[in-house]
Amino acid sequence: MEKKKATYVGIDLGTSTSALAHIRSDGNPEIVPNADGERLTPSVVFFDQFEGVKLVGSAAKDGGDPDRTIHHIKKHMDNPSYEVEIDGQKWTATEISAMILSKLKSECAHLIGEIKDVVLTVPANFNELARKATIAAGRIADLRVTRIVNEPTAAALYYAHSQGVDGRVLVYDLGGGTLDITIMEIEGNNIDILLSEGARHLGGTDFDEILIDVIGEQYRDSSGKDLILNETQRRRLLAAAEDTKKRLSKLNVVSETVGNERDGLARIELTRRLFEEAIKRLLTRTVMLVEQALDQLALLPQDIDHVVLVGGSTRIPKVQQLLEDQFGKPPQSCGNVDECVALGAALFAQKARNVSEVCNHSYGTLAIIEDAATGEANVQNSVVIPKNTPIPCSMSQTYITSEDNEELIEVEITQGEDHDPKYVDIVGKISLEVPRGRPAGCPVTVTYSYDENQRVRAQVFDEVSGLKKDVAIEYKGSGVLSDEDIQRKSAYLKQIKIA
Amino acid sequence: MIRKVFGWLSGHSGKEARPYQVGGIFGKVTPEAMCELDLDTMDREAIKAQLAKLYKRHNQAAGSLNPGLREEAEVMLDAITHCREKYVDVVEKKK
Repeated sequence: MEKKKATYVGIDLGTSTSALAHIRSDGNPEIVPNADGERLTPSVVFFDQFEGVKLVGSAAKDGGDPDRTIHHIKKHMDNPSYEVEIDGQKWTATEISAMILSKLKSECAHLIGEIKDVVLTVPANFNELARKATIAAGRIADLRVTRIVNEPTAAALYYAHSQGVDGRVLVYDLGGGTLDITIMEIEGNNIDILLSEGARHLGGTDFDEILIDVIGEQYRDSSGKDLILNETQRRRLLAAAEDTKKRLSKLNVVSETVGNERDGLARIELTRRLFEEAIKRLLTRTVMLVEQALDQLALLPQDIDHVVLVGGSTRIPKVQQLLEDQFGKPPQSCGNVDECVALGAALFAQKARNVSEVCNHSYGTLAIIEDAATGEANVQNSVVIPKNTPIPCSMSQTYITSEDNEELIEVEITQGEDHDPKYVDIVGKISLEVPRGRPAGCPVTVTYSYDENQRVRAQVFDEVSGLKKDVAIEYKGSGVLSDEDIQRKSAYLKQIKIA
Repeated sequence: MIRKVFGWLSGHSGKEARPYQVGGIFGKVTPEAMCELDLDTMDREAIKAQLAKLYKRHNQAAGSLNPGLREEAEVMLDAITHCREKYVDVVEKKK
């Protein structure tokens, strides 16, 4: 008898919580609970020292040694040097993420059938390394990652599906670790993404860190002593601060008893106003990102028909108030703000063809550019394909060689919008050998092509000789796992008990 | 090295981005100086535009593959938001 297979599965691998959704036979997405009956699985891993078991989810979050508990691993997905060492063994962010995915894969399969092909979501501002790390985590968990989709795109798809709205929509996704803003036009079943922008270190976990500073100050005012004595205590306090933050979204004043073994307990009072003042600097960044997104499309706030909230941090009343002030209307939510990304990912797995996306990054090259006004020439980043260009697309720019007798044309592939080379990443290089004895001034055309799966190719074409070279742009720097590494880690993961 | 087609001069290969030294978070350099604000000549709109330009640059840099640049970007983003709160309304309310 053939094993039942799940179809159209999407996974939101979140900073604080993760969720898996699939498409039901009626065509609607639904969240699939884990073996604990939870719709949201805390993105937490605990390394048990007695039985070698890796607990994932609430069981990991709710007890145990904080030194053996890993939270918010998603924040480190773009850091190849980040490792957690437990019992003499080192684990990367990718491997820990794979454990979370592995739990979802195995437990949800009991309800919907074998899970193999999945769509994974990532923040819109995830760089190339973080995206590759996410795909690698999926592969280590023995999943075939068919697509990576930006979280706001997934949420927008669910919003359009569930609300049946048309028009110009701004999705404001403020989750555990990042803020993503996506502006799109929705017409019936079709979604045209116009723009996607994001900000790192701007989410619920950052608010929690600020809140423990506030709590620490209050304790110091009360007792004259420092609250936090060690890292273990800080982590416990961080978990408690998250609960306090959630209560402050419902109450104006919250009373807490905090303390440590050395200096005892103190009762402190936290107000919503105090919390909002403490996170004000981060909230100002959110306002500026919204303005940047609108400016890039030359839109005014009144040009947006719907502002949609996604992510648990949008429950903070001040966040909603700021958006209402900016847009002159209250923002909307598409049901449970914690689940809509996973639900949208499942829809994306089914109907990606109805979504027209845009380039995640600008690509270009370093070139000597002369200022027409001053005559001054210096090396700048010359953008060939701007970010947010609809995909698929192909764009070219022609340059000229700068020196006589150049035998090797070297084109550095840059990722980033800034004209200053300091602020862009060099993600590759194409070297094209050309015939000797040519003067300066030979035209060279650089072409970048994006396909609908966000894969990018670069071509350098020397027009004089007709020689060309074509490469797929794939970040191969430090931190990218090889296929062999992934297979080895996947085999090892299968031997580990994850619960 | 290649040049943009509308001109040429001798040049050199591009260098990998390096973080510049800020001199301590708000310690030796004021946020206004870090944001290149000339308060004698810039009105509110000019300040807002300058901060928006810097915000775009450093918000992008905060996601760079270069960890040094990411750290620098976070410092700059703090300076930018400090100046934004001080000299421009955080949100212009729409009625």
